[in-house]
Amino acid sequence: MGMIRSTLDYIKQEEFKITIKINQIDIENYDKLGIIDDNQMIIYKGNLKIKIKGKSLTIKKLINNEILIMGNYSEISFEDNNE
Amino acid sequence: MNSYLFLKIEGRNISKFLTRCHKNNIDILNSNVISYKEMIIKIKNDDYDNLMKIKSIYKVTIIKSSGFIKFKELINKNKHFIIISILGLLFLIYLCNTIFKVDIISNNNILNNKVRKDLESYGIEKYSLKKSYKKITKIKEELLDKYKDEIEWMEITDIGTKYEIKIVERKKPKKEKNKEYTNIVAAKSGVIKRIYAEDGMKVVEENTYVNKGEIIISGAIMKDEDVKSFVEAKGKVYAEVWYNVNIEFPLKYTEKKYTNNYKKTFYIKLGNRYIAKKNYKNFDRKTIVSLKNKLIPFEIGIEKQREVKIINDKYTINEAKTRAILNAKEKILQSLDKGEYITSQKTLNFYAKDSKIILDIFFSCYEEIGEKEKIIPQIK
Repeated sequence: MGMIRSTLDYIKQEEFKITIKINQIDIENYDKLGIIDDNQMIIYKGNLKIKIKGKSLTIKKLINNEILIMGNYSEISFEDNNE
Repeated sequence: MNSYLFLKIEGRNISKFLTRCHKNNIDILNSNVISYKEMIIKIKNDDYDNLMKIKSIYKVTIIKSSGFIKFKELINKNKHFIIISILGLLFLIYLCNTIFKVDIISNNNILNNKVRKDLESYGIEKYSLKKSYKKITKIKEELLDKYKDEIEWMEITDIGTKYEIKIVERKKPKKEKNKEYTNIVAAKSGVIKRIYAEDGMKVVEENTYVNKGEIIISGAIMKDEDVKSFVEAKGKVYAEVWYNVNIEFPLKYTEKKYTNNYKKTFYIKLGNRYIAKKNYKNFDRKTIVSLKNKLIPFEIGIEKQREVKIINDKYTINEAKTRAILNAKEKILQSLDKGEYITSQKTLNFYAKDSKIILDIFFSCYEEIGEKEKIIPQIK
């Protein structure tokens, strides 16, 4: 049963996921976008607020449930949106 | 197969444009920021109309396409070349499968001609399509069976656009011809007028009435009432033979009369159907110039249309009678050979009924009546 669930999860890919690579951040299954500019980007997932700060930040890919941010990030912070 | 567009977006605050796209469910599959007011994005072709609705002050230019749409554009740009290439290829395939020559290799010209005529009936001739291997094998078997006494071996080879037929003749030892003994008998009843006997014994005199089947020149040579030997009787026998002809002739007739009016017209012929301007209601056509070839399924040319007037009229009784007698005479003459002729004729009965006349005519003819009949010799 666990294996089936894992397989289904792998196929459906509904999990909220952040992949951080050099000069690249990929966020899957977010809810909405906030501020988008060269130095700062804010992305929301439920009550979670993800803040990315840096230089020359650009959106490389923006599809319904995935955003790929390229650029020199210096800070990634996670805040509770209710605060 | 999806289609994609690469668009150049120009305007202030490019990132706001991206957010707007996101809000309107337009996926940005790829983006390249050139400057703070210029970027290149990749979207699906289906999202383009939606994007144009929400672009507002931003300037959107299509740079290029990819995927299926690009393929379609390529086809459209080169459609004439593609169509002509396909037609050319099809024509080439057609020519490669057409026979341009049929060579029959054999020492016997008569046999060659016979085989060539047979091959033509099977569709193996110049400008016809090549046949499959299975069909060729079947044709070869049928020809070998048909000419089993004349052909020892046969091979049909397909060399490019030519068929080469090699034939090896069958050489049979000459058979000794069996001697055949015959009588000359009467093929029809009549009065003998002339007998020309080359071989055999004349058993009937001239001016004698003979029935059908009676012996006129005998193959059995008699001496003192004994059969001494047998021969093949040869000769010609001429007799007076009688015919009773019953003929019906219509009083009404249709006549075709040519006028001096004619016109030349261009025509196209498809199969048996003519496509040409009809200059007259009724006309006869005569081809002056024509262009046709087995490779092309139609014929074009120039024809002469000559006006014809159709006359429907009625004979008088006497006119009809004269024509009827002439018709009957012609039919009898057609059945006679050289040296044979009608000696006399007489109308026995004549009457008119409805729209026709009926006659009974008696003909007397001078014709050859001898025919060979085989005899089985019995020498005591």
